[in-house]
Formats: sequence, structure tokens, C-alpha cells
Amino acid sequence: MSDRQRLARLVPGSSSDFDLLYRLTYDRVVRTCLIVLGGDPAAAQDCAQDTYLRAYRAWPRWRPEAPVEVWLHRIAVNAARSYKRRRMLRELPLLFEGLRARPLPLDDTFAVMRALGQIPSAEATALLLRYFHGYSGEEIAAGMGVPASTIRGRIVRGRSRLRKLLGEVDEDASRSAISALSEFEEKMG
Amino acid sequence: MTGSDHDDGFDETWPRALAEELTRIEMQPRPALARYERRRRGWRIGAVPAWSVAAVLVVTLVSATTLALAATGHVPIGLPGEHGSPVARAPRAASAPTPAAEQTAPGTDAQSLQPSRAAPGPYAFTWKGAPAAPQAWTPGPVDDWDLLATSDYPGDLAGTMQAAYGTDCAPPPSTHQVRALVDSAYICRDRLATAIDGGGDAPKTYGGVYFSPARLADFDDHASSITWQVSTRRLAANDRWDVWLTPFGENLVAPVAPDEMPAFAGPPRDAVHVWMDNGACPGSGQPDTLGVVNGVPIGTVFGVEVFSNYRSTKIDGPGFPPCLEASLPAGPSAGVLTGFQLDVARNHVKFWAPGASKGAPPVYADARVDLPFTQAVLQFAHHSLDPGQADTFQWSDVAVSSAVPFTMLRPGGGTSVHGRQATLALPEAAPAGAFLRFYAFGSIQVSFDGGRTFRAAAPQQVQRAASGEASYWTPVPAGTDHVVIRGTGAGGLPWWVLDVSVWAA
Repeated sequence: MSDRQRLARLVPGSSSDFDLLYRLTYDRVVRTCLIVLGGDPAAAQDCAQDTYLRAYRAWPRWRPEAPVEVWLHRIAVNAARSYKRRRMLRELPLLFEGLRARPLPLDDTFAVMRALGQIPSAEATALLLRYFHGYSGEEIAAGMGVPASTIRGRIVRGRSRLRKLLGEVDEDASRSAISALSEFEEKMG
Repeated sequence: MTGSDHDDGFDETWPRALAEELTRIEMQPRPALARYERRRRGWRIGAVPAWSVAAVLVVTLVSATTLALAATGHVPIGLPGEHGSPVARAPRAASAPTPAAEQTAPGTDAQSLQPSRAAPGPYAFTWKGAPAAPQAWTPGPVDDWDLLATSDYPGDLAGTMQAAYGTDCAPPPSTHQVRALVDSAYICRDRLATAIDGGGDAPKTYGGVYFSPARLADFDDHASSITWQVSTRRLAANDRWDVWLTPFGENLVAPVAPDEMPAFAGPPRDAVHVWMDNGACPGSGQPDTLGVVNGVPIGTVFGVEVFSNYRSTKIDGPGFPPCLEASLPAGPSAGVLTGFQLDVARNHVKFWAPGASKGAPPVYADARVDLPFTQAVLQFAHHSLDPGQADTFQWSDVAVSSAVPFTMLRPGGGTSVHGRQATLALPEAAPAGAFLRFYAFGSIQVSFDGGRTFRAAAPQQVQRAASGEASYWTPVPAGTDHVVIRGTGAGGLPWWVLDVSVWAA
């Protein structure tokens, strides 16, 4: 039985099913957090924990019209955005002190993550769910609680922005990204 | 989404590049489930105050009515049998009488943790009785069973429900009405039935029936198998049973896992816990009563966890938890009971349903463990969490392959003590190292010298927090033959003491 089949059998409110949800989805949820948070691993793990705490509160009320994992990623994105807002507030005094040059955690070889961080969050989320996690537009729409046409629009706009951003990276970074991708593909066979 | 999505491979390339980028970020290993559970439980416990405030408001509204009804409440009368108990039980192990003059200093919690030195042996028990009407179960006064029914508030009523067995003990689907807590555990047709409604007109949204034999499961240097039979037909997803194994000195009168009910004192410090849960059961389940989700029937699965210093570790079985209903030869039944078995050793726990014999019996947990105890109080419980339509579970044939007896004295009139100071006579003088055990709301004082001096009853030290009612575990001087109880209420509610007994191991 695949993970998706198992996830489709979960019963809202069941504590053992929530444990199973955690086990089956944690790795992917933490990746979503990691992407939205710009590659900060500690923050991503806190974000994932926060995601499951939020999800647990809502678990008895979850209605399985959409894939449960899409619902979970939606919570994860919101948790990550809350985390970013809190982080910005904490850093505000530093900005006034002229310490604007906060080093980015990702170097140029993280071209895709950096590009995703530069496009609107709703569009990046739609792209991640569609192409990285592999859900259909209709499933994403159901999970996000918006019309399918809205998701289609976000994907089209987000894809266009992503293509432009990835096309604008300098040559060295491009070569680095392509080289890393080749190594990855070799490793994966 | 659109025909152009995959036109140039871009939508395949960037996700792969993203996956590669993610592999280069060093992550800590995935947190253990226990870490997640601690935080999850922390949130649940954090929700208690608001919940409790709401509950107190409800209780305040209904307390006057309830008190009036309780004053004319049902008084249980035992069936003929040893000590008035309607049960057949193994002969009581001999215990040396303790001279009344042999006064000892009050015991300590450490003392109560000492294992029993009695020789282990098999224990077998079933409820016997064929009364003309459902007969409230009154355990015998000496070394029989402990029994508590509670609705988590100071009163003697739960919600009104239709319980299994007719007014003449005609078998299910016949029913009779139950509301008083003392009627929540009753005998019909050689079975114990537990029926309590934590919803409807209940004062709060919880009802529970807890019962424990005067035997400790013993697994010091060997395994002990605990078996029991219980009905499998369920009418509500929020009516469930569970089983606890807890060290003698850490036993709680009403242990409830935080995930189930945050209002209670939480789990014991150390324990093995088996609980019924709901699962998605394609092709089986009980969809007519438990419902359907996404076209899949809901049915019954079980979870098992080990508490070690309050930390819970869940134990898995082989593979995906099988649904019980799929393994029942004739499907779920209120008439046919099914056998369950919990095998416990110091380093191994297995929970399975050998009575579910359609194919291989389902195994819900089978794993190596490291238990911090080798003898345990065995406690069954039926929880009703605002179920809508409350359920009845029927029980029979409890057996423990290796057990040691312990002293359990239940005074007459100790089922529900409240209102005025009460003097309860113990059926025998308390032995050395005994503890007065009860469940109570309010500030409770006890006297062991006929009311000349009182002391505050001692809450069971291992319970984490008590939101209202709490478990008490007070050292009793050896030779004590009477206990005087008095109390003061709290928050405008009366004091209330349930299930008074004296335990010694």
C-alpha cells in the first residue's frame, strides 16, 4: 500500500491515525518549511513541529474532501510565514542600527530555492504542491479552499516568474546548478 | 493543468534541481514521535483551564438538581456469594492478621513501591449471576475487585442512556435505562456490563467505569499473559475501553491518557497502556454506527504505549494496524464476546486478539521494551466521551497466568461519601504498609482514630495535576478498622468522595 493510499484511509479525530499522518508526511512537510524559510534547517524543524501542533488542534474538524497532505502543507506554509514575520519583527531594531546586510543562508548554488523565495508566496506554494509534491490542480484547489481557476492562474504566473528568475542567474551559478543537478541525477540513477 | 505545462521539460527540471538543493542542507534527524507527542500533550494540557471553567459553569447549573436526585439514588445490593459478591473467584490467599496494637509510622511512597513477596500463581475470574433484572455489581469487601464509576464531577449521576439487556436481563438488542453511576456496572447472564453516558444530560462530557482485581500481574523473571473477553459491537466512536498496567505504588484511581481527557490527572508515571481507537477499515468496520469517511467504513483498531517516567513510547505491531472487525468470524457482536491477550515481560510486550479467529489473529503490538517495573495493578476502563449514543461493553473471563494477591478492603458505604462526616468500617483491620485509596473532589480530611484527630488526605504523589477530582493514596496505620472522612467543597461545589478502599501489597 502506498503512502497516499494510507493517507486516504485516515479518520479525522483518531489519535492513532494522526500519529500515522505524522510518520508518513514529516519529511515532506519539513521540506516545505525549509523552502519557504529559505533553507534554515533549525527554523524548518520548528516550523514542522508547529505545523503538527496546529494540525492536531484542527484534526477532529478536518474534512477529507481534499488530500490530507495538501491540507498539511497549507498549514506548513502558513506556519513558515508566521515564523518569518516573527523573525522580521525580532530583527527590526537591527535594521535601524544599519545592520541591513544580513547574510543570506543560501549561496548562489541554491538557485531554485532562492528563486522560489522571490516570487509571491501563494504562487510558490501552488508550484511546490503541483510539481514538487505532485498533486493535481483540483486537489490543490480543494486543499487550499480556493477555486481551481485561481490555482491555475497562480501556477501559470508563478511558473513564468520562476523561469525568468532562473534564466537570470549568472552563468557561474547556472553552471554550478546544472553541475549539481547532474551529480544528483547520477546519484539517483 | 494546461497543455503547456510540460512543453519544454522545465517543470520536470526545476523540481529535480530543488530536490538536489535540499539534499545539501544538513538536517537533524527526524524527531522521534515521543518528542512530537510531548509537545502535543503539552498543548492539550494547556487547554485545560478554559475547558475546566466551562465545565464548572455547567456543573454549577445542574448541581442543585443532581444533589436532589442523588439523595434518593440507587443503593446497590449484592447477589448471594462470598462477601455478598455476585462473582466466582479464586480462593483468597492467606494473609497473616495484624494485631491492632501494631501501630506503625505512616508509610512512604517508596515503601508502597516495594514489590509483593507473595508467590505468583495463576488467577482466573469471571462474573457469575443470572438475576431477574440487571443487578448493580458490588464487589466483595475483601480482596475482590475495585470499582469506580465517575462522571468527573461531584455527583452520582451520568447521562441517561439505554444500556444493553432488558429490564428482565433479556439479551441485546433489549435495553434498559441507566443514569445513576452505581448502575453503570451490572450483572446479567453471567457477564459484567459497563454502560455510562458522558454526553446527553450528563453534567460534563465524560463518564468512566474503572475496575481492577486484587491481583498484581507478576512478570519478574518470566512473562505473564493477561486475557479477557469483551463484546465487539460498538454504537459510538467515542465510547472506548482501555487497559492499564501500573506499578502498585503509582496506581491512579482513574488514569486517563491526556489525549483522551485532559481534565483528569493524566497517565501514571510508569505503565503499559492498551487502548481502543478508531481506524479506517475498507470492507469491514462498523459503518452503520461508527460512520464512513471518504467511502471507507470506520472500525476498531488498538494502540499500545509504554510510559516510562511519564514519557510515552508507542509500540507498533507488524505492519499496518489491522481492523478488528475484519478478523471476527461472525462480525462485530454484542452477544458473542471476543478474547484479547496482553503478554508482558520485563523486556517484551505483545497485545493481540486471539479470539478474532478469522484468519490470523490481529496483532496490534509486539516489541521489545524495557519496563521499569515487574509487578502491576491491572485496570480495565470504559470511557465515554460525549458519544451521542452511549455504548455498553460486556466483559467476562479475566485471567492472569502469573499473579500475586494483594490486600484490598472495601468498606460498606464507601461507594459515594459526601455531605456529612462519615465513618466507614473496614471489613478487616488494615495490615502494615496499607494505603487508603479513593477518588475525590474538594479538600478531604481523614481520621484513623475514630475522629479524634484528622489529617489531610494525601493526593497520589505521582499524578501530574488534578483539575478537580483527584486520586488519593494516604498511608494507613496498621490495625486501623474504621476510617472517618470529612471534607470541604471548592468553587461552590460540594466535596465528594468515591470508591473508598484500603490497599496493601
